[in-house]
Amino acid sequence: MDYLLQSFLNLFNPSIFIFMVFGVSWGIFAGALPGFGATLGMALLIPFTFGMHPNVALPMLAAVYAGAIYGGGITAIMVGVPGTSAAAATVADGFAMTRKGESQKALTTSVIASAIGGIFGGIVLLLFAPMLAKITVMFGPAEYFVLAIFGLTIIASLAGRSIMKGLIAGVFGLLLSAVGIDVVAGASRFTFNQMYLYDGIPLIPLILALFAFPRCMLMIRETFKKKSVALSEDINKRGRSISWREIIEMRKTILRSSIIGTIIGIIPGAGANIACWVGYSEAKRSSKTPEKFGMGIPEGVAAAEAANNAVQGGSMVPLLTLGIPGNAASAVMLGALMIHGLIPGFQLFTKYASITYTYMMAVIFCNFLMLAIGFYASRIFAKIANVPLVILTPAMLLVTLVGSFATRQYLFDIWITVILGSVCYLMTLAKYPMPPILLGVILGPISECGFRRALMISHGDWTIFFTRPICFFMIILSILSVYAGIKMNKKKIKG
Amino acid sequence: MKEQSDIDGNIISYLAFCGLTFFILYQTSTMKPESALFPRMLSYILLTLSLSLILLKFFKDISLFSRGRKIISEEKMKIKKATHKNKKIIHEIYPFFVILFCIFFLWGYDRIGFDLSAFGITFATMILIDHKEAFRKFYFAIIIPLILILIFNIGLGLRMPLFIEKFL
Repeated sequence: MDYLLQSFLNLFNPSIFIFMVFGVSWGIFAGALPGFGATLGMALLIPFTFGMHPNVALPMLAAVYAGAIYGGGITAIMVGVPGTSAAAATVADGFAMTRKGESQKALTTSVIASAIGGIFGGIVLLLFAPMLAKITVMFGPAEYFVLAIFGLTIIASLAGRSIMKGLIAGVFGLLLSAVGIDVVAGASRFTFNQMYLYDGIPLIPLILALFAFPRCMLMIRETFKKKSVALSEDINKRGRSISWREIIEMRKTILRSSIIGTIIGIIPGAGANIACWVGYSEAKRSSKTPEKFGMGIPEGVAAAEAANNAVQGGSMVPLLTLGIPGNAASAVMLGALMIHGLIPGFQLFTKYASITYTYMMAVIFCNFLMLAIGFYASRIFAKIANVPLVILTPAMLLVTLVGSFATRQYLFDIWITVILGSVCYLMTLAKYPMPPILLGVILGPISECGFRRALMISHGDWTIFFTRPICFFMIILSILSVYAGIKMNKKKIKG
Repeated sequence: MKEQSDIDGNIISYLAFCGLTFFILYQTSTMKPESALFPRMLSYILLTLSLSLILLKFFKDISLFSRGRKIISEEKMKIKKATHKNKKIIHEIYPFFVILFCIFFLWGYDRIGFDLSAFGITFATMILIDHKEAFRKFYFAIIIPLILILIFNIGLGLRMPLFIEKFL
């Protein structure tokens, strides 16, 4: 209880508050830019956080995440182009409302539903994460190895259209994690006698190489195919805003979508892009007038937006307790935690409880900020998001290069970003997904150390991975996770 | 067209992963066996997975061909290829100029200072994207590095050699 009160008060510390306001604003902007989204928005901000206290950095990143998911809905409503895949379901009714001259109503519905969904997800995180974390005390090396394997099976769900390519990307990530000093035997591996590589590939240059650098190259490639998206002329017709009575009438839809979003968030591998469609289709199924969905009704916008924003809180439950990121943005968040020396698990709720509870409180509180900012400034963000690529791309490239340099101040780190980023660009062209690479790099050392230490304890007996109850349970979960991933991908391809 | 590029991409990536596997095997030959186990195991898995990817695609194509779909898609592909080939190749080269700009930036960082090399890379990228707009909005190539100097050099105390410092 003390931690809750203390962390709540922490949020009103001027530096935390200001950076959270900045985080929400940056998040909305990044979300509203088609092709950017929460993952890239967070990846670009991580270099700026290296000098910050985790109590400031982590709430800011939580704010970026929440803002970006909501921001994706702004362009979905105004232009009919979802800024993020999580806002795809918002287009159906949101853009139809704009065409009817009701853009103001759609934007207000979106921000209110997003905030309620986000707050609901945050409360669930605050209630369940500490309970789940207690289980991790029982973990030994064998459990950590199987846990890492379970984390890697999520690759099947993060893979996009091809599971095989997702797995290849994951194994490539694991190989990258082998660079540096082998922590068990102390031998140097693939370092080419460069002392810069003794600690492995540094995380910030790696995250930027995976998400930001290839994006810059893709933006240049796309420039010659199409110019930036122009705003619809219909946005000038604002129409009236939504009334409180209308919001209260939608309470069941918003609550249902919030629950759906949170549960989907907790399930590793299923992210906001799935939650928005499930929330939307459930709202349509339970509606008395399902035929009106898609014609431009606020209920359609509320259902999709509440569900996708509730995912953030849900996805943080397995991340903070077990270190399993449920989606790409959570994988970047895991990177940010590790950069600040925070390892997910029981210690986060004991030794680093103050930081963790402040972060969890921030997940809730940033939704209030998002509500305030989105309520008054969403229209401005929609216009800012139309920044020409001729300015945006060089700015992003320069931030990427300086950002890679920022943590350790070695020019070598910029080389890592440029070389690895170019490889990742080629891999992106060949349709290899990037999040599994990050997951592989993060889970690589955990799985290798766990595997080798467990075998040392059992004197080379492999049955240790099957005879311990938690290990056995997680092996079953891993099999189910791969099966669910294959099923989900088949559905995606059919759809 | 898409199918063709998928197969090409898969073969190229398979060859690249073959190269990577040989490199890993060569590098691990001098390591302690327990340190070499993990990377070796992974490189074999990588090779197996990428080979499976090609085989899966191959069998999928055979089944499509037997159903007669492939012939139509190949006809379409030929028409598309003839129209867009030249235009597309030039466009595909442009993103790689960014790597050259980055090399220039890295070369210039300590020699001519962050400010000049950052201006250079920003302006060069702007010209690459749209040369007319780049000259019209060239001041952004000054503003963007200035903002970064303010945040990273003055704000966060990062080591950023500046050309202007030589005159101060």
